[in-house]
Amino acid sequence: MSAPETRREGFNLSAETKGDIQLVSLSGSASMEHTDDLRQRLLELADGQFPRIAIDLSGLIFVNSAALGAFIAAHRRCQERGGELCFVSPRNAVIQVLRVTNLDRLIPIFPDLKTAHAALSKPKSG
Amino acid sequence: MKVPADFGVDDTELTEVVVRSDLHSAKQPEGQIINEMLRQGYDADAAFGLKLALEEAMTNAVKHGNCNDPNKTIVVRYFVGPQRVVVMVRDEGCGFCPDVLPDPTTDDNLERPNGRGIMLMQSYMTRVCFNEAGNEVWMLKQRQEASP
Repeated sequence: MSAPETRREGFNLSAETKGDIQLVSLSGSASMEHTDDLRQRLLELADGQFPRIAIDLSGLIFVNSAALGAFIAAHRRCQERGGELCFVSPRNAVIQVLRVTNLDRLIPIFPDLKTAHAALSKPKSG
Repeated sequence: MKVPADFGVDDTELTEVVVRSDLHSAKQPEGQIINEMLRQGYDADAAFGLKLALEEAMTNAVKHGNCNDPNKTIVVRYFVGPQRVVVMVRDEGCGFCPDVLPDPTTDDNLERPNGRGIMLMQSYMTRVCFNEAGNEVWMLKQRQEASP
């Protein structure tokens, strides 16, 4: 099952569902004119049938604090609904922003989609 | 407020741009500054850091300073030289006190969706300072300084 793409100049979000996990791919620059859309779209996905989301950041070349806020809001929404959110293979510049802000301690980062998929598929303990 | 004395740039060297206070118009100075940095041989890390800090300052100006009023304006003054980049952003708002912002990196604040903009500006720039009112920010990026 595939969801329609949100495509605007310099930034793209696409999403597909695999099993009970949503794979979201971001590419381009998540700069200030795109972050409101990013937040709305991620929250819609978190409110969907499967609140387990892996966000592939391998194509994302820029991220700002508003985009981080969108990730955090979606992460919280997933957790509220018994799900999880994780990042997959961010580029060096983006992972540096995640580290500087300590968000790498809040949201797990995996090196590839296979590992992320396996981690999200595990039953939660407790 | 004039350019801080220790930024190593004279007021007369600054280029001034005035833009409408909306998120699309606010991108215009960014393109000019980044293009000039790349033309002068600054590396991708330096350009990323400057873009990040400037986006944070412009977003604050549009959303918080000018309260999303497109009839207001933002003034940007900048200098790109071989050893440093200086950028000033001023909005029409009442300002704020940057010293009272909570640290967004502590465990208690990690899940807050807002409040990371100033911290990122300070992390990626060599120096960041505000005027007394808090509606004007000056940022300095030294060429030789590595990213955080």
